[in-house]
Amino acid sequence: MLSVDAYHRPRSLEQALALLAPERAVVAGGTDLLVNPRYMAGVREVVDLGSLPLAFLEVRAGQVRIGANVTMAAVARSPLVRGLADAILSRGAAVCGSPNIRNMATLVGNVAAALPSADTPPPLLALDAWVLLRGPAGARRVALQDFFLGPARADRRPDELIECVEVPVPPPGTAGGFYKVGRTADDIATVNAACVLRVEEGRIVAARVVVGAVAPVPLRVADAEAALLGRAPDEAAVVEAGRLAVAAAQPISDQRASAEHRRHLAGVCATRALRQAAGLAPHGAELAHA
Amino acid sequence: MPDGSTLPVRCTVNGREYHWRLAPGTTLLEALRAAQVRGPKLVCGTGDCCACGVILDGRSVNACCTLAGKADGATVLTAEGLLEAGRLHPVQAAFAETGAAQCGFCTPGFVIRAYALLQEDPDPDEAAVRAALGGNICRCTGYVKPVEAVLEAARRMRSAPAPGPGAP
Amino acid sequence: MITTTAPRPAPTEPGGPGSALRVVGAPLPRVDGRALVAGAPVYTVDLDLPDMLHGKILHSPLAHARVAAIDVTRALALPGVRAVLTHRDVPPTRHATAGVPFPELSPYDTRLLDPHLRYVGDWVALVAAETEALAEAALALIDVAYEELPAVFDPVAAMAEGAPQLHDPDTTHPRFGATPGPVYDARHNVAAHEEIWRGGDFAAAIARADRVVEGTYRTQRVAHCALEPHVSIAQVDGYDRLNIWSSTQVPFHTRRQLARVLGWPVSRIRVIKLRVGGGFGGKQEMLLEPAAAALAIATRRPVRLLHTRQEEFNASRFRHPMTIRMRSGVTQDGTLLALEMHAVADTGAYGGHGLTVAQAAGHKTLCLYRAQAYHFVADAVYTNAPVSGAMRGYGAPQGYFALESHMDEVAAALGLDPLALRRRNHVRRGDDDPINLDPTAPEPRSARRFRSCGLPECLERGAAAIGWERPLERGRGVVRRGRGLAIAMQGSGVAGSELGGASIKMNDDGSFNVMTGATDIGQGSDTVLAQIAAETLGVGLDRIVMHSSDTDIDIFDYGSYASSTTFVSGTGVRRAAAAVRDQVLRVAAAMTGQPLAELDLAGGCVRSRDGTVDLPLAEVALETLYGTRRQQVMASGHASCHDSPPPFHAQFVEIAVDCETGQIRVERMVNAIDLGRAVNPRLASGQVEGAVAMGLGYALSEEVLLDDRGRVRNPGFVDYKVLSCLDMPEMTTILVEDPEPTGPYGAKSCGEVPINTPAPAVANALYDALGIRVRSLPITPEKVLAALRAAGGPPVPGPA
Ligand SMILES: Cc1cc2nc3c(=O)[nH]c(=O)nc-3n(C[C@H](O)[C@H](O)[C@H](O)COP(=O)(O)OP(=O)(O)OC[C@H]3O[C@@H](n4cnc5c(N)ncnc54)[C@H](O)[C@@H]3O)c2cc1C
Repeated sequence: MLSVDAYHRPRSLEQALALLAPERAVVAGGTDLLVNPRYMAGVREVVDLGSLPLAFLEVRAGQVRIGANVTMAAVARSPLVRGLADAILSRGAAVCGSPNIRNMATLVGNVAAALPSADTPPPLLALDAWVLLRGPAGARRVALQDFFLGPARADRRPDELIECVEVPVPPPGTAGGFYKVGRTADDIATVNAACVLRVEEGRIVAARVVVGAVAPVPLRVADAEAALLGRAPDEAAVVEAGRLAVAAAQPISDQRASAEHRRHLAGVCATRALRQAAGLAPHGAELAHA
Repeated sequence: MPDGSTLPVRCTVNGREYHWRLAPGTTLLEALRAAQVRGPKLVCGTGDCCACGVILDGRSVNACCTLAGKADGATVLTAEGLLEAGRLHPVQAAFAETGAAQCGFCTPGFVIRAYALLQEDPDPDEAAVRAALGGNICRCTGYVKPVEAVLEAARRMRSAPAPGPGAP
Repeated sequence: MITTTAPRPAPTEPGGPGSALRVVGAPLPRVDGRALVAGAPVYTVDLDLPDMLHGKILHSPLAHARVAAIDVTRALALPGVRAVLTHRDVPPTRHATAGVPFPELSPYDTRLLDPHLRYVGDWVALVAAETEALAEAALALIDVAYEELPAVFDPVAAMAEGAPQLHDPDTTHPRFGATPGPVYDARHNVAAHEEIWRGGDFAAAIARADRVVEGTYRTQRVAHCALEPHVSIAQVDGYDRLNIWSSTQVPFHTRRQLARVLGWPVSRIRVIKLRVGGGFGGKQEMLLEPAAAALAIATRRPVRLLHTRQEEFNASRFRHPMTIRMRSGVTQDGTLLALEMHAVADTGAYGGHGLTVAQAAGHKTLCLYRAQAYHFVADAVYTNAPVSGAMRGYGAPQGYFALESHMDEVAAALGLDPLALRRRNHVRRGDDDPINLDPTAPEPRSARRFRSCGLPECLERGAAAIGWERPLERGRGVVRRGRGLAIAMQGSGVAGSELGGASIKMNDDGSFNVMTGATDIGQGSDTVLAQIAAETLGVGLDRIVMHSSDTDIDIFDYGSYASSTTFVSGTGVRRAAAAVRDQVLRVAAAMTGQPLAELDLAGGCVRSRDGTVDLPLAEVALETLYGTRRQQVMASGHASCHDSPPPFHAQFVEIAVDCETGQIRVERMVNAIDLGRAVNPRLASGQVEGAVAMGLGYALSEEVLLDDRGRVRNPGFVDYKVLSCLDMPEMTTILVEDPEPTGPYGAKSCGEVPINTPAPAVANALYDALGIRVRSLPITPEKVLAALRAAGGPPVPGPA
């Protein structure tokens, strides 16, 4: 039971925007909102986005657009999303909780919740995704890497909602990797990582390396990305990048793992994700859960 | 304290129509149990065990972290609703016969998850069954017999297909 | 791929009526299965009484404190609040909450509400209100001034001079009376202590040994996680009797203990158990019942008290964490000479199961091996941690983690195969229990002779199934594989301390009601007991109607714990059924004029050996109820437990270790259990599979974590990780049947013994894989990596 005074279910974007206010929380799937009290601080009413026409998952102008009502299950199964960089986003979505959770949880909610351990932000960051916010003054686009400000804090004003997440379709031949470590098979990430590599004529020409749950926000490891550029995609390169991920990590200790262990795993996960992208190791079996 | 019941919700649960007036923050699980639909169980309250699993408009979800408002205009199916004229659904029969229910508290959630899986994939292999049940916690069986039950139910349903309630 | 190997065909009963068993030994579906799969409202949580109030408990926020002042005015003023009770409003009677027989071997260290608070979660006040939300709101309106006291969380620190003292010595205990009582040493927080020497001269045996091996092992606090939380509904009825519906394993012990706490006579208390959504020992405890009762008495309305999942983690019961020191002396060829264990158990804030669980760490384990001399010391120590209680295995899992890890360390020290070491030393059929003494004997005398022991067969068939002799593909890269084994025994009931059984009556149609106090908590005892009754009465399972358990109706039973139900209550059921059979045959003899000795029950009929009589039971029933020979065919039977025959278990595992992440994946597992006789092989293998799954969580992922102020850091399934089916290995379960002459149809037990092996088997496989020994549970990735670092770093990957 959420302790709220009202439940709103607007039928149009305009109605929804008119309702948004600091003491009103947006609810999409509700799998974070109903479970994690931090999202309910100061909240007196909820605005359910469920009836808004935001269930689109489409390509438009070179972007895959994922609307606020698209569930993790739909993302994980979407052929469009699977086509992006070795399906890294599909794989991240496929391991977000259990099937019942993925049937309810939205990808946009996963982004909006802004938790450093979330499973889709690393692939989204590796794919240079954008967030499309809409408020009373109109729409604005924020690069995902600028969106996260801290645990459960993001660049979103209380009168804005996220309409969709936009993922630029990468050039053909872009490879990706994803790796998640949890305490058990069905667990929130102790650490996760995603990466994207583009190799031309035997040299890495573009690299993104992102590690989750090792910093207040999902962490892009700029040093690792820089170090990879111009190198051959070989074992030495990915191991070096992993080392730089360890150096960049600023994890905390909590009931799931010690900071020391997380720092170590930052390197392991980054390296393993990169190995997949570099063709040095097979991809994981996450899609079996989609 | 919010004044109790201000939110109207109309829905169909196991073929029966309900008109509820609920506190606005009520979960679907609380609403169902208050309406004497007791198959879904409150176990973890955090979405982590799937004992409260129900089918909401064709999708299996955890009722403990679903707002009841989302059920307005929707169709809900729970383990009780799989019974037809008192006859067990093949999934239920397989769970009973293989010993997949011990204390039984998680069983309605397993049955719902299995039913949802078999609607999507009538011939799952063992790995697919495990993936489908990966969020359902059982403390009694060690999962051997629940997995066996789902495979057995799939066999039975393939040889004698019964559409089952909620199916198109 | 999961395979469950069916047991060999059940042999006919030695000395029995000569025919093969029909119902016993058959893998029949549960008698209550239909309700469970259909989601029927059969649990206590599903019960609503008219006009029912909802109770809530105010829990202590501090680990150690005194209630200096408490004011309930504001809470009582909240509309809809019907009662707020503090320690001033309830009887101050000291008691024990452990669900064990009278007189409890437990200190009477508990009061229903005690102004002295001893852990975060202890009870400060009770509220009843019209709704759960109102009751919850009222908790926040109780004004309490706490005087915080220094707290202690480490048992060793708690035993030190000057540590905060948690309890006073008790002088009210019925057995220990005005003597210092079973709080062994209140000043040092020792709730219970035991030291025993067995066999020959221990020091001499150590002196004779070629090798002395030592090690210290630590086990963690884990939670039962029964899916149905604790829940009790209390009602004072129109006859001024107290009715309690409760999710409990021990209705009769609870009735007796409630009577003490409330000061009501037993005759005015009725405890009813409906379907129970799992117990695992957590409900071998009087927990919410007295609080619900006090609220119902105060309000004269029905009151339901239901734990949230968070309360299950903060304020129920847990497995005792233990630190166990092992020492043994062996000869070069691997013969055990001396075996020593010192267990320090953290009993938490109260000591209900403290003595018996700490004792069990040694008493249920050391007797697995023949040695010339044994030494065992146990301490149960109070700390300001959540309360430890009974949990499946009852001290044995802790003991076996130490003992079976240690046995592998002995094997390694001697360069012996771990399987060979065990074969050389384990007890055999015909041995006397070397540890447990008969408490009734004037001279020291072993409590039991092992009349059945299928352990050699378990080892043989288990080793064959895992391929113990086959070389293992160990891997050369980051992932390394290893194999391990562990063996265990347990009991079947508590020796010298059991009573259970049933009464059976015949109905018009020749069906039978079996009314038993034995408590089905999901393990399937209703089904197993029905099978025993059906077998004895020569009818199918569909002719048996089970009733359990209601203290007004069903015959007295100690309840469901200590693997007692099939063995003890099952023997009682068999006796009751035999007496009913006798009555039926007498009536039939009179009806048919056949000699009694010629008649038998089979196929739902009375039959004569010569085939001339084939009389349906319904006709006998009608004759007794409406005919000329009127009587209610009915009898009761009960049984005790003289010596608790042990089931045996051997488990083999293969694991894969990721040397970079430290993660362990158990890939294959073989369980071979000697359970005497599988009354229902399907239910029995289900017990084994469930126990080993719980044991695997104990080995790998489960731990209740406390912060430095004694608060649980992971009070829910988000961060207390119960394994799912995705974590389970490929599993083979082999049922070995070495019939126990004193068991019903040869049955012993199977529900607990398999939980003992996964933790040591995994630890042993880890050693086999990488040569590292983790001596503390759970074996987390961090511990694996730390051990690898201590051993000089992860293995260098070899050529692919
Ligand atoms: C049992 C369980 C397991 C889980 N496992 C995982 C896991 O493995 N990996 C993982 O990453 N996550 C996991 N989660 C977390 C959760 O499921 C995801 O974060 C999910 O994607 C959130 O989406 P939602 O639609 O349910 O969000 P909601 O709960 O509805 O919302 C979450 C937050 O985002 C805000 N919000 C939602 N949508 C919008 C919008 N369009 N515009 C603005 N704000 C918005 C809400 O106000 C709220 O603050 C798990 C959760 C549970 C309960």
